[in-house]
Amino acid sequence: MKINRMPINRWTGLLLLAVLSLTAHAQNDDESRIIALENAWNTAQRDHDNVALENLLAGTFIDTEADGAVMDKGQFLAYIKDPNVKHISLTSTDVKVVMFDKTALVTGKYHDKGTEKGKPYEVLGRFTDTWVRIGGKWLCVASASTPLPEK
Amino acid sequence: MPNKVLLVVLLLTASFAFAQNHSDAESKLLAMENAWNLAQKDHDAKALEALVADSFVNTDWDGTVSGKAQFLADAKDISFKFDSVGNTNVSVFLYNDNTAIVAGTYRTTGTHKGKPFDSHGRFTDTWVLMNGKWQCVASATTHIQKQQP
Repeated sequence: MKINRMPINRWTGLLLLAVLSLTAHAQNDDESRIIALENAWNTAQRDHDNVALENLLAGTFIDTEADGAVMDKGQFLAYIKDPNVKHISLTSTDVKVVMFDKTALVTGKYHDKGTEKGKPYEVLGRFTDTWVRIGGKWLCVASASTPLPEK
Repeated sequence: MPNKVLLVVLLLTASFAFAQNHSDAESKLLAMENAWNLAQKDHDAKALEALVADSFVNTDWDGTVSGKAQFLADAKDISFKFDSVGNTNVSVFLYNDNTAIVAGTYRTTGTHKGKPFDSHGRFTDTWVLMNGKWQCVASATTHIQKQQP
């Protein structure tokens, strides 16, 4: 009996290792994918590309801006198209991704620099984005921004 | 015909069960948000501890970020005395039966070191169902700087 049990335990151990390694690999893939989507968001917003942004947001997307304004998906996409706002740079730093199965929480800082109606602006803030995998596709369901005090 | 009737009954049962679960989860999450406000008002860090995940991240309206331990330590700070902590215009969005966004406006009044304050803003809370228990994994607040429509 012992002779038979040993190989089974070994195989079970190897199988468990393989499953764990695949799970870790899948999680890393999801994290990388989420970071790529965050970067794509910044590029799309900078370029007023609301078609690209539309693919990143859930139908029920809710956005809270740094001044407390709230927008749904339609309002956010219309706001992105506003040609009065010209982004010179829009970047994220200190980005952290925490995975919860089919949900990802992304937090970090953003730095937005540009002009609005010709007047220069520079905004520094924090963001909290929640992404959910729906029908095999990662979609952002909520984004909340909080301004950081000027240095 | 009997097959069609059976299919309709099954579909109705499934959609009723889905709506019921959805509504149950919404009610539960709203109750937890209210429990959160009460716990915060009463400096009850123990009650708050049960509501937030270990990886909880809190972003305050002034840009301060805290993890679970710091958040619970701040909740115990008795230099803050709350007269009222309340939420309005609260919406719950459920995804995959295990993730929820709860968003709305909050108003907190009280005193800090004897000085009165009246804080009004928006909150976005992310809840995840973990091992059968809803836990808040992130909370972000933003002051309302001007009246929004």
